[in-house]
Amino acid sequence: MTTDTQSAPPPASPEEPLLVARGVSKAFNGVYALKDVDFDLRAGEVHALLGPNGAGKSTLIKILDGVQPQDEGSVQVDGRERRSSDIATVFQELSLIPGLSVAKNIFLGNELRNALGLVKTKEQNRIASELIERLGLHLSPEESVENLSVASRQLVEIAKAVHRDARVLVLDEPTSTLTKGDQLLLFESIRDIQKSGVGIIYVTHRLTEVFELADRVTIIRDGQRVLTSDVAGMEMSTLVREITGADDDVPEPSKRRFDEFAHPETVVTDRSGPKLEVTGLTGDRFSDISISAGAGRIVGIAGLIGSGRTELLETIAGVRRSTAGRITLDGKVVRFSHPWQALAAGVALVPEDRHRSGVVLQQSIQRNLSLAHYKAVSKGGFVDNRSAVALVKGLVDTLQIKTASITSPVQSLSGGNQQKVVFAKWLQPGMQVLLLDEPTQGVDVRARQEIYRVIRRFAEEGSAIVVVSSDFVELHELCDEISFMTSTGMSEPEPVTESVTDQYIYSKLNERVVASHERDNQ
Amino acid sequence: MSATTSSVSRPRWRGRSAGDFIREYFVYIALVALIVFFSIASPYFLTPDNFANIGRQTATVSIVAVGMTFVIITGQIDLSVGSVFALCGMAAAMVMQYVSNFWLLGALAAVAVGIVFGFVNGFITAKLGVPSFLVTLGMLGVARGIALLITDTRPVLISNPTYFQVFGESRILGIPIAVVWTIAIVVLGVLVLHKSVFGMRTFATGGNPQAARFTGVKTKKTVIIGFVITGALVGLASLLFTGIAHAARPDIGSGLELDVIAAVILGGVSLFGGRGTVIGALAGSLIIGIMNNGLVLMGVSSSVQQIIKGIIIIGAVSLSKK
Repeated sequence: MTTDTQSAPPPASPEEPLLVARGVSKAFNGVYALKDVDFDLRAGEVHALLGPNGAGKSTLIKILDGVQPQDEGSVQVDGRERRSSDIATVFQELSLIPGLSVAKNIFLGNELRNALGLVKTKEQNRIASELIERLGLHLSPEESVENLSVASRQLVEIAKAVHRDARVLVLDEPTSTLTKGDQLLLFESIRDIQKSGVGIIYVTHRLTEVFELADRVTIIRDGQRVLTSDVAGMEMSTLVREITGADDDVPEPSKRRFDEFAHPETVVTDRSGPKLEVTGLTGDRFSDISISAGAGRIVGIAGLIGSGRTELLETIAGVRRSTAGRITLDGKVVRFSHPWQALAAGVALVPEDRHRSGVVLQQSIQRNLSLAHYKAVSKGGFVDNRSAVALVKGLVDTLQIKTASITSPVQSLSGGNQQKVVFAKWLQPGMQVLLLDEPTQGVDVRARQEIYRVIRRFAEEGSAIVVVSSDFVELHELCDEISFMTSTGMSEPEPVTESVTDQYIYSKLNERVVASHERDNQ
Repeated sequence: MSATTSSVSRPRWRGRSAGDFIREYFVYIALVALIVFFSIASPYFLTPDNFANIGRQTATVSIVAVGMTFVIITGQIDLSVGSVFALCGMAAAMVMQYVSNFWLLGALAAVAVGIVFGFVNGFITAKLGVPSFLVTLGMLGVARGIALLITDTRPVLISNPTYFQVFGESRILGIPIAVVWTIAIVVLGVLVLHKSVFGMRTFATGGNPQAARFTGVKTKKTVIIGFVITGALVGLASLLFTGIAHAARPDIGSGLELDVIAAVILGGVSLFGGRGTVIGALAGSLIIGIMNNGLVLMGVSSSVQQIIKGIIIIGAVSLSKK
């Protein structure tokens, strides 16, 4: 491995770095989250911070930001102790107040006041308007934040940080919920900010972004820095190897065990007709959508945020009602008005926002899984603890969920393992259709590969799978066929071949979006 | 390098601190401390008779607290229990007075009234989406009003010896019947909340309603059933009260909701839903009962008692939150 890079100090800088952290350590309950980490950031650079979930990235960011004190080590900006105003962080969990306007959020805590101490709303709106305009965001500063898309909120957060004249801007996985188009917009804004001499620390799981955006990269793993290097001249494979930290292969979900859960009765021998067929479905924010997914097929849907893709999956899964159209399952017309009806018919949804809709975070793995597998773990309405423990242990084993115990709360797991818990809920006999909404959002590279294998195993067992993703690399890698969705309709599916790359998917989708716009305008 | 990294594994949520322990067992520690304190402070406290007394006096709060535990775990609250308690007692007494002086009929009438009010509370909360705080606040007035109206505020006498035996005065193996009822309800509550599929759904509904719904839980139904359980138990509690008083009065039970909610929260049930135990709620109820009893034995005046009780409840809840 690259022992030379990890023990040597970061590459010599032509100028004095903007931010210097030396020997930073932090322990929780006696276990090191960070151990003796050095980190520096130059003015005007984008410095990517990578590492698997639980590596200590978040802890490092929080220490740099000053939200959390370090146990040992120092953080300096411009050669002096760091002040809280030096660093602005856009955390993954956005910290905007939904009920307030864009301008009020930007000025929150720093309101402009007149002689009487009243807020100068007009002045604030004017400045905010300039600011967001500069970030490429076209909306009124008086718009309430709750009406904004996730992407726009992200930009408002950045505007807030820029407005405070922070020297260092920290972005924690800003693109995890963005589509390609929004992502490009964000990158442009970042490059603009970069020119003004602000140093940017960019945390991400998407490695392609590192090459598109970053000047340097630092990888931490298990609380220690393993690499700092210029991005130029680096290979993708080096990054992956350093992040996963091992040359061993991604573990395969255990085949034998998988068979035990997905009962033989679901294994479909006749894979000719479509399992799920959606015709002309219209509902909240989408209209006239048709999809067909055969047993054992993985069907991808590429769509921009706001194209109604989440609403589409939720409608199929019985969370929302459709206003027109038809859904058939194995040729029979179905109409679900509640998720339990969909689940009873074998249609399960892995939702986009797993914290809100996927798991009960504070409850244990065992509780979360027993809830979904209640039929298997109860008799006469009462839970049989022994069979629950056996089943849950088996599921944890099969999907290789890394946890200290099955009674650990789900919130103690890394993002990837939390997502595996959501998948484990639906690893049960009779699952016909699996609807996946951003299945690997906020999941690190290694766990992502594991989740792909789980998805493929579901398909092999005969489930029909529909995947919605903003990550076009993912669609390319995972799907058998792909359709393009805009709010006005869906394209014919296209088989995924080598030539259907993320770039291709992006340009094709763009074409369709532009075309549907033009149609609207006529 | 790779050899040393493995020693630094995921840092979060490993092991539990002493603080976690105290928080989790706070109510039991407080209960024991209170018993020790009053045993030293009053010679009359630590006697079998006095404990039988405490059991009888706390039966109402304990039994209603079991139901309230379900409601609060689903993330709701029921403020109407005190008034419904009075109305249930009136229903039992009036049915036996005017319809048929049969103890079981009276009992069923009380429980039925409790169930109807619980269902209405739950239905409006879950199906119409009105916050349960408001629904049950309104129902508090409605139930009390009906109780006062039906006899023009007069009490109704009960004269059924079997009724008094079953709900009031008899003992089983020396244990007052009210205590036997309490134990039975607590055992049933533990089984349903902590061992049944419905209990699992109750926790999920309060812990994360949306995730519960996405997992196929009928969350609205779960909320309604929680209110119905509470209503039924309020009905039962009213029987134990009227069984000793030999009469139903329309003005009883005011402030019962506060004692019950205090007991449940003291017992570690989260007001935000998703967390709590029946046994904790029982311990909370005993704390309140013992406090009432011990302060009386110490000769503290009732106005001072109220102040002390209020302070102890606020203090205990803040400590357990820390």
